[in-house]
Amino acid sequence: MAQTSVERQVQPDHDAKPTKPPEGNDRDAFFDNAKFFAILLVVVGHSMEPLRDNVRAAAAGYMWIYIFHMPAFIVIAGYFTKNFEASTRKIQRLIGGVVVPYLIFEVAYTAQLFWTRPGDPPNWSLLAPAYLDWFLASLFMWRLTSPIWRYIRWPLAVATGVSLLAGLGQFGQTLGMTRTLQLLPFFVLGMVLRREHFEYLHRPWVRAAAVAALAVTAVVVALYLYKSSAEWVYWRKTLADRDINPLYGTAVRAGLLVGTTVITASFLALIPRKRHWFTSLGAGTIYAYLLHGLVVRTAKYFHVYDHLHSVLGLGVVIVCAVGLALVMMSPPVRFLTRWAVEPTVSWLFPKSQQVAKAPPG
Amino acid sequence: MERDAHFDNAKFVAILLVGVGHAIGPLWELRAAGALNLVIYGFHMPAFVMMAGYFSKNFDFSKRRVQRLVAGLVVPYLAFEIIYTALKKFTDGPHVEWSLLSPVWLNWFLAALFVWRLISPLWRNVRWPFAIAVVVCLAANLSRFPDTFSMTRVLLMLPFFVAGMLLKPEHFAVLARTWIRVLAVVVLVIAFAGAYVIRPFVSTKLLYWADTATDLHTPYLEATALRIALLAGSFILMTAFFALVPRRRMWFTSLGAGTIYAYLLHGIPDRLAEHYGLFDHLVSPWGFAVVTIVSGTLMIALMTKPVRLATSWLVEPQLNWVFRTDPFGRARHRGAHRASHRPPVRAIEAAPAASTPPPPRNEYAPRDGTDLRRAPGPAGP
Repeated sequence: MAQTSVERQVQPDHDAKPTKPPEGNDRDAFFDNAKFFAILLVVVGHSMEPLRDNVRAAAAGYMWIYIFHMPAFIVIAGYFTKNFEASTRKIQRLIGGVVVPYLIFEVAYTAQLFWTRPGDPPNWSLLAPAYLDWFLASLFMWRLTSPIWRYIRWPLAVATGVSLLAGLGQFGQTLGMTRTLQLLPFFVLGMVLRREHFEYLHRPWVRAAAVAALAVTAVVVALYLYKSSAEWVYWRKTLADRDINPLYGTAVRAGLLVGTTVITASFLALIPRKRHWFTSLGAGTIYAYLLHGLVVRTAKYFHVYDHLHSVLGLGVVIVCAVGLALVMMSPPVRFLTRWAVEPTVSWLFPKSQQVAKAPPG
Repeated sequence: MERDAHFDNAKFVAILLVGVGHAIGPLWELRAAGALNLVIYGFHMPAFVMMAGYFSKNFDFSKRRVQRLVAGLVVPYLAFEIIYTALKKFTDGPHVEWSLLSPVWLNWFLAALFVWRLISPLWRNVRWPFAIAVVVCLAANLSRFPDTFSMTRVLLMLPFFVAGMLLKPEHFAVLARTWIRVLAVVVLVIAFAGAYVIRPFVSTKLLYWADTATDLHTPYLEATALRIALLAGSFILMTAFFALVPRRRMWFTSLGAGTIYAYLLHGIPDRLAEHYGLFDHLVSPWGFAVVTIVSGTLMIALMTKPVRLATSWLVEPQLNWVFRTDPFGRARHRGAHRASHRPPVRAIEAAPAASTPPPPRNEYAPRDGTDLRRAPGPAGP
């Protein structure tokens, strides 16, 4: 991991005065912490999904998590994509960190689907992302188009317009196009944000407000919205796909974009800034992301969930999910699966263009 | 950069063929017209795609190029998507729906070019780019894609684009030899004769590159063989075409810089002519001649100064106001801290030499390693 963590040391925004000194490692602990907690929520969310129908708390928790967990990741991804350019180094990282893992996990998840649901013919179209692989497909497109957002005026407004307009069209699932377009504002928001914007989030009154916002949302979801269509928070279908009145739907989606941003900011406000025992795990969230689906789906296939349709079962599932996420981010698992998650692709590049490896840090 | 007359001439002739090809499409029943159409479709768009690749070699994400990408592709694409959808609503009926990302008719080229250009740095950097592009094409041929961004064509025609990225001026210089030009004439004559023979048994559909084998319900093995044959055939015809295109400055050379005008605009009269049944009376040798001459003249007219002046706001809009003067993110060439983390200088210098043509060098000097500290980390879960 040494090489990667050095490569990923980031202070993308050198114009902003660093408000806190780097502590030992100059990789920003805040973002690693944020990614760590977000990935816990992703794994917990996916794990409690089979309980949604029978356990109200699971349904509510699921909705609540889904409001902000992926937007949080996407904002962070945008924040770290500010300077994408056509250098060998970045192209190599795009291919090794996004394209190749995408293809590998596309095959893995399609094969798993074939195994667990023998009835459905598998869709071997490598460009229609299976399950959670959409994030890599979208990240690929967001990163490649990031220079456009960087150079045009009013990027956030334009991206929001694109997202709202996209809700009226139909795009199919190629490369997760629908999510790429609908979630675009969060990515562009990340690109626009500077370090000091995240600093604002840590003022005491903002943190108090954040607790209130998350709590109020949780209560509202638990009381009213737990039965609503999760499609609103998946962002994977457009209004046209779902046959929803465009005017009403666009209004809801505009509200959702704003609301989601507030909730996501609240989540980020509560993330600790200091280094903790879990900070280093936050550099390996991609492992937990790509791998956990295989475990969760296999558990479902073997009817593990049949005995867990109760609040107690939900508790068990949450504890197991957190444990699973921690295991998948641990160094041994990372070591064993690096060939698939962060493969070395230097063989794909001419010798003359290979980027020198950063010394271990 | 001084414009290369050879390429402007090639673009000029190719765009004439696009216009003529579209115009004689309705005359398919006339065997000679059908055969000519097969030959034209055999290489005209592949030639454009190849040239697009040739001129996308240096695409990086610099402000100037991104600006040209947005003003030269994205905005005209959106404008003509609206125009052609409206036209289609008029000719085909109100059931035609607005869908900005599914290109209407000839607009696919702009959408595909947008995607190709954005991913061009990938091909510039990897090893065996052409082989990978062919594999991608053949794999895509066995799958199926929605028409968003004309994804099917993006993938099936990718080898042409990547070939263009790899070709250098000296490759085209080879084609100037006399024996190659003679051979090129022979190739085109044979192609026409062959097309004349097979015309009753085929359609131009395969040559649109818009349908995968799965779309066409062809068995996998057969489809792969057919696709390889199509790729090879297109490359051969394209080579013959470039061998025969004049290299000197001609009266039409300057028009070749305006092919995009003829490309985007000619569809409007063409569609209207077809809608009003103009071609119905022209399925005859005389009609064939008339259609060819009229469509050729029209294409030339659409590339002239007056038309370009009148429509440049739509086809090549100047959109400086859309761009910010102070892009966020890293200021280039600033700060070279942590010199120890910089890649060896050799790597920096070798990068452009590998696959990019000489002029203008500073354009694409890699920004590699100027400041590794600021490199964004792959965020994400």
